[in-house]
Amino acid sequence: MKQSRPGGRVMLRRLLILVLVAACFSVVLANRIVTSAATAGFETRIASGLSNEAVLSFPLIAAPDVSRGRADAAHIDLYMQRAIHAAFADAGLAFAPFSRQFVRLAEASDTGQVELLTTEPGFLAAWGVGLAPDVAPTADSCLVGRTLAASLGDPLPQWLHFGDRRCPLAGVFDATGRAPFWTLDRAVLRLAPPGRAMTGETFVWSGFLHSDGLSFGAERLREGLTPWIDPDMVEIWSSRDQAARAAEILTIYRFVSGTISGIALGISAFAIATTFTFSVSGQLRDIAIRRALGATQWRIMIGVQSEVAGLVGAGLGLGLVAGPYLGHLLLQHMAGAGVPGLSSEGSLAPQYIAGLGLLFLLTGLIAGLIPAITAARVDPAIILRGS
Amino acid sequence: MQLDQVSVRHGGATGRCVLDAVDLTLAPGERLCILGESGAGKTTLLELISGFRRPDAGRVRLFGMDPARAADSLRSRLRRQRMGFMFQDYALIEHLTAAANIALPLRLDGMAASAAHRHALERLADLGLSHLAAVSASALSGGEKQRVAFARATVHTPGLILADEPTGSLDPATGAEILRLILARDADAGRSVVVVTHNHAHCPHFDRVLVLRGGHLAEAGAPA
Repeated sequence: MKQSRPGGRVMLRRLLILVLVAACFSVVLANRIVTSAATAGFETRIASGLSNEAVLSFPLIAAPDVSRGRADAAHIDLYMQRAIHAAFADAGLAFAPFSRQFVRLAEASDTGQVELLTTEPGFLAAWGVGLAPDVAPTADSCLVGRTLAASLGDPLPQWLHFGDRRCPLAGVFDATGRAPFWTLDRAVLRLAPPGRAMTGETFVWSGFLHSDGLSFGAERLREGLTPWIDPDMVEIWSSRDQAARAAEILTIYRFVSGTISGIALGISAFAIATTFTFSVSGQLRDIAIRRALGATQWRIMIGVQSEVAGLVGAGLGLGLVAGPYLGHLLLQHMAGAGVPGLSSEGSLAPQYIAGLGLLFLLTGLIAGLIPAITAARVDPAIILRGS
Repeated sequence: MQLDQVSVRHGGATGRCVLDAVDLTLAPGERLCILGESGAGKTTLLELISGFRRPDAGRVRLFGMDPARAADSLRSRLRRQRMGFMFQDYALIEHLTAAANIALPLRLDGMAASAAHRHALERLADLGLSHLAAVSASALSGGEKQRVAFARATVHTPGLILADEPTGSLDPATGAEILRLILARDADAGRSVVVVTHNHAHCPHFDRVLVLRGGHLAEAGAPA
């Protein structure tokens, strides 16, 4: 049975509890969505850690043959596959490049993505690459492939811009059908001083190493690739390293998530305990009347707790509506801000929602015990005594 | 109802003696008036009878049990089913309607809301107060409140009515009307009544009058 209709201040406090519980629940749900999006990649990495996978990444300068400019993008992939095969011929290792450095020409957005490679001026002459018009390129000037040049318009622009850098466009090179340049029709060759070819930090090649059942530590991989890649410049993350790192990050995520949830629960519990204690103190007379008329202590407690449960339930309902909305809003905002490692969709398992709701409800009921016991212990004699 | 050598002290064993070895017996259907000045122990006596308080010495028997020593559930059931209460300040729940207040003892005893409401309406009709059914208790006059309180005290046909200064806040005419309701021998002829008051004018209407003075039964017997 309902205890009594509370006064205005009590109603206001209960409204605050409702909002607070809804806010806390929605924050925890939103936090869960963001966390699940952030950890999805890590969980995949941990799971894939059992497949003896490694990530290998190195700047092009670390591979001497490549840095001399005797290769284009496809050649570098081939180069790495040969290196892996030579070093670990019996292990069944395969190399799959997953990251290449691309830039976009700022002056010609319709040209799409092109590969930017840096090479020595003498290299082109040595290979007999034809230039049009016939110019003498200088250091820091650029040459563009024939197909790319066609998309830049006629006449060609004097300058090419790469982000905040620019270099004079010296001309077009024609390497059609000439190994190893057959894929460079849409490339930009940036001419560098001798000995500094392909030294830019942006020229990083990365790839996955796969093996069939064998496990390689980072040191063994590094040692095996030494003839092809400078071992001091190559970064290797073995699958186990990745799994351990991912697990660490995941632990941090879960700790932060748990802390947020705990704080939200604590705030809700505190609000429920204090507000209902206040509420009970304002209803002493009504409670005493019910006790005098024969309400048991248990019934009084149930009455208070059912009010708590109703309020928490309503708050959970509101939070269930607001939480996913807030979570996806946060995800969009974080993705827009360039936060790495987020998957596109966060998720909320029904079991998680049910469990969390139950936890909130139990916390509310535990917090409600204090005012419920206070109410149950109200002395009905205060009606007789008038105080 | 029977009280045997019941004593109550306020403030522990060395505190002030409020009731000192009081003996009291109430027969079924008897209408008892307890007179006394403020501080004489009238309210304490009501607390003992209703089970709100335990005596420091002696024994209370009510409907075959000792309410002070029974479990809360039994004591509460005794109050719900066998006793009706009236108080000087009416003790109505202000935001409930008159009908809802009257239905309260029935609801506390587990009766369905609709049935309890129907009983309450019937009780109001018996008393000629049907027009008050939907009126909030806070909007009632003092006399109306006490009539509603009487309806609440009797809606479950209790065997005992305990009334604490039921006319104390009313004008003499209204007080007399309320007293007439309380003491009427109608369908509930077997109902016992204990009224605590300091108003000697009410004495002639009771079967028996007790006078409490300083915690002692200073005088007992039929009114003059």
